[in-house]
Amino acid sequence: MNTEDRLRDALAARAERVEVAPDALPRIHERIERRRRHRWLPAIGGAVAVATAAAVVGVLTYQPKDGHPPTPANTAPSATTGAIPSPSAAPAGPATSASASPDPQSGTLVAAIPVYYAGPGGKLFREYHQLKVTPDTVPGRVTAAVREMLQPKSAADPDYRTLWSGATVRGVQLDGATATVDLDDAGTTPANPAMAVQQLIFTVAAAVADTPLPRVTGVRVTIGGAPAGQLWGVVDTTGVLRQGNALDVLAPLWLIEPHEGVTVGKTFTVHIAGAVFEATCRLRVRDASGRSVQDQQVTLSIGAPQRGEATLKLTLPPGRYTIETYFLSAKDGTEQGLDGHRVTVR
Amino acid sequence: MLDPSLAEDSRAWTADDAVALMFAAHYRSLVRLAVLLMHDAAAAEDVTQDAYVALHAHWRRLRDADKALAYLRATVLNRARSALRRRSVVTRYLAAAPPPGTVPSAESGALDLVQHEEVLAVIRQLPVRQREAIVLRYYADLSEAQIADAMGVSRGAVKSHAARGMATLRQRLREGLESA
Repeated sequence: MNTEDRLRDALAARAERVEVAPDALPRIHERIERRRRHRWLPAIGGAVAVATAAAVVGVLTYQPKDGHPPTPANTAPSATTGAIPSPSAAPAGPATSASASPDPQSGTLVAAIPVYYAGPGGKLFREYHQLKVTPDTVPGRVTAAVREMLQPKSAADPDYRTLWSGATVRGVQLDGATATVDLDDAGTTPANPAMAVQQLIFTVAAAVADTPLPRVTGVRVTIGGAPAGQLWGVVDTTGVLRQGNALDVLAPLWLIEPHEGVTVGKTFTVHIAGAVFEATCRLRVRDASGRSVQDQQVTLSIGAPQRGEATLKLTLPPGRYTIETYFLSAKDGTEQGLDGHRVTVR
Repeated sequence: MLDPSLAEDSRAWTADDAVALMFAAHYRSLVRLAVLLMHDAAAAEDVTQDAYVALHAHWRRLRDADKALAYLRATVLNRARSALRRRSVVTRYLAAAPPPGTVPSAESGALDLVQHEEVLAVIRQLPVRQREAIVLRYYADLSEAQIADAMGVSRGAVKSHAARGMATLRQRLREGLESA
């Protein structure tokens, strides 16, 4: 084999091993959203605000991109500064309903951070929550996510809930692939302690995954700064608790976008992720009366046991709808894995 | 309802459409390109996501799917280059990260893997521009003009970067063979 062929083979084989994050698109949307907010700042305060905003952005965001030498992309903001965003770029999702802006005084940042909850069927779903991060550090970010996760009724989707009850977090430390979560109190014993532990691990791992730090794959739990030994007398916490297999822990289907309760334009993006047989799931739209007005097959990028995804555009007349994804059981044809969100089309 | 016609005419896309549709079509391959340039999956994904954010901001000036892809590619290259320039940062992350998975997949034998690693190790040590030229040519299969466009250099420069990179690769692989 000549050198060119060896080179082609080696590059292709290396590339083949690369898998992308299942939530890459929402992360991009989050970044676009954050950028858009920064773009609005100058319109309020003029040139001084521009300089301040730029400085604040450099300090407060996690993306390594900020504050680095200009590249073609980095020069964009100066050209578009103060521009009024086109209507098509109107904010969508809970990300924009919160007053999200960095506060230079306190080093606080409001960021969209993923938090996991148990849904119908007992497995985990993910929501992005606008959380205040103080201090603005990666452990601060993880602590904010865990604090939110422990809050009863913090899930935006009424079908989701936290498995924890009465627990409070003191702080989080990161050390390579292991995070140490220090609780004041573990609260009352959850109905499914193993899944509650996974809810914690997935939330911690996801909060770190958006930062340049190494990915977290395990969590150590301490109570009041001391090794916990056991959680609720049933989970051994003397070692590092490991992230479970996504297939066992995550709900088979997630309706990632649109988020629960948002208002969208007449054409909007639907984003589904999941691990389903033959990569096949369904997308259904119910109108305000609950009547199904559309029900179609959707093919995800890859089938179970991998987690595939699909992005598509939906156009609906104004009104209130429930967007649902589900799959039909290969065994008996019953509907399984339903995840639905209520939206308003304006 | 579902609008399949949207994909056909990129001039009608909004910036949001452009991001969603270009994501579906090219995200994975761009991340892979970035991994080959940076040898760090998390950083590669980060620069690729950045490129899509930049695409959103620039869409009004592009308004064309092919131009958008060229723009994404050039931005990924640019971002990867400046990330690598911050070598100390990258090295620190690499040192802290768990070792990359070395488990061969079912279809690639252990011998293949060893041979691939030999090649990849040389590629990683090449100067940035030489690596870019080689990865764009032998992985992404781009033409010389496309590579020049993505790298922001002349076609002559592409040729010389690629030639020097290949010469180093040939030499190192031969040395490996002789010392074995």
